[in-house]
Amino acid sequence: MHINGVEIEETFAEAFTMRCARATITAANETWARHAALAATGFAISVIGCGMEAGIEGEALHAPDGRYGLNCLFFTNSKDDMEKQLTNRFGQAIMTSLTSACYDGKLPELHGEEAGLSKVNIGGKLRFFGDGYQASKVIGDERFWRIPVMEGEFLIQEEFTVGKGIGGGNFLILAETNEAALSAAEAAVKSMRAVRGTILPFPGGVVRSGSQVGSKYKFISASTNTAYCPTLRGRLKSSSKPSQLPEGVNSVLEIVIDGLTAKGVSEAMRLGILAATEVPGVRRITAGNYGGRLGKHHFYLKDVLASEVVPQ
Amino acid sequence: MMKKQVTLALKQIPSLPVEAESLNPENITNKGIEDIKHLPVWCGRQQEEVGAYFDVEITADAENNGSGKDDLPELVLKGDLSRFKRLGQGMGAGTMVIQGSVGFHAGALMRGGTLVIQGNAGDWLGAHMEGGLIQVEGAAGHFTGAAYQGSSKGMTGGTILIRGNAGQTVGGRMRRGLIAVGGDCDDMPGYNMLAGTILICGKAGIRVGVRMERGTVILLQSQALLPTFYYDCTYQPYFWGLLCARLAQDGFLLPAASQKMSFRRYSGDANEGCRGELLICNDQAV
Repeated sequence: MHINGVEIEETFAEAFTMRCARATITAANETWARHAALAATGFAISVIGCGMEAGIEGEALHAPDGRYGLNCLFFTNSKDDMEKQLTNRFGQAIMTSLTSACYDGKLPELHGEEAGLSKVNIGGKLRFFGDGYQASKVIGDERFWRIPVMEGEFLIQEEFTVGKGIGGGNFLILAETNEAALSAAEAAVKSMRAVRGTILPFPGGVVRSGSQVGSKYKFISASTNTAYCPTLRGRLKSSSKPSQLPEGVNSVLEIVIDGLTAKGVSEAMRLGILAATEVPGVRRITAGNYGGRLGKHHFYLKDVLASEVVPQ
Repeated sequence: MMKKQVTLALKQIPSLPVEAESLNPENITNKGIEDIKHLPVWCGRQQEEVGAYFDVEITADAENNGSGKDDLPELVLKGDLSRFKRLGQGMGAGTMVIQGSVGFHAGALMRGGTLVIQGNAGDWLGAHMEGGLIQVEGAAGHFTGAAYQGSSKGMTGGTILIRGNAGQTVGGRMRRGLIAVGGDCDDMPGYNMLAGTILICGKAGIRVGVRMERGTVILLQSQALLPTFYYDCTYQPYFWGLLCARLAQDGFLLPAASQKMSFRRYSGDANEGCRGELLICNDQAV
């Protein structure tokens, strides 16, 4: 299959079920909401090394307190990890940030038993920072904690909704040059950012150090994706795992997508791939998988590209 | 699907008070007109029947489809019911609309559902309420959401919205929940309040929050306070935005500018540990 002259390999992206949560961070203005959101989602690139994957989803359309708000999505391997990570991140990154408040963004996209919806208590833990002067306020059916701080008050919702999302949707851009790969990746990221319910957890949305499972070293669980490293093309000729790079490809970039639903991940992949194929110098689009043995969710590139546009 | 509606039209105003706690949406479910007419009410020591006071009609009203909070029929009472006490007492679900005024104890001990009173309400409105929503389009009497004499806790949940004025001791000993008064209220709102939120848009009487232990009383008009309330600061509490949104959701609209207003915060009552708060609007223009 070819799009805009770019080969789309007949393969699939293998993704995993993860626990997900959404937080709405509000502040006096966009600058301070963004400071808090960036800090809370910082160093959340991969669960392997960071314990969490996170990113800014976009502006909150209806922030609970009527101020400027940003929605952030968080993904972990387990509910316990989610509780621990959110407690640390909200306590360190949002409570400290000027004028901020933090609310459960809920997960209306998820429903039914499959969604595994439950709650984790975050505000109820952070309240102890108030040293006994914290106060709760129940509005509707939801409890919020008001923690006195030097600036005034930090307001945080007691419980945050956790559900089952998808982590690890991906595709790889194989290009003739670094410049072409970078331009294609930037174009793809720009298109994909519009899809609500998804995030691209890597810096700038793109990863250059794609990984494979396992290593020759026993003390690490993942290592560089040798089959796609251009500098190893010749050296791997006689290897049991030879290079996967076609002639003329000198740079590969990967885009990883975490999303609340398969529909969202698929739509983000579709938009990203289409945008990437429009950049001259892109030779092939492929995807990373483990033979289908590890991840429950398989996104076949041909199916992704054949899907209808999903309004978000 | 058409929503079932049960309408009770008052035949004539009784000369004596009638206690009618049997009238709530749950009690009329799966009942025919005759069954509803035989529901008991009390006039003094005399047990009587609903049919003695009301004409009963059951309709499937297409226009009101979905207006109820659940599958229970909507109960509509028409007439001046200010001599009827305990209407909607203990109701747990459904919608009850009273097209007129009601007597004492309306919605007392209510656990859920919605009670709409299109006239005035008497004393003890929503006393000991645990959940649900009461909307009063007129005024309310004394002790709204309060605790009965001898009880340590009043309202423990739910929302009471009064568009008009309210009497004395609004939210006396309330433990949780929200009371909003669109007009003025008499003395001692938030008396011995344990927690929860009271909003008074108009003028309040004397001794606001006297003996309050915790909770929040919000006043949109300036007010002389007891000396046992100490000034903390002037600021914009972020939960106020949430509260405004919640009130708007229930149709209790505040002026557009109110969401951004600042408050003078006082802690008190110092005689009770100083853990409660009074928030007084600092923007006189609102």
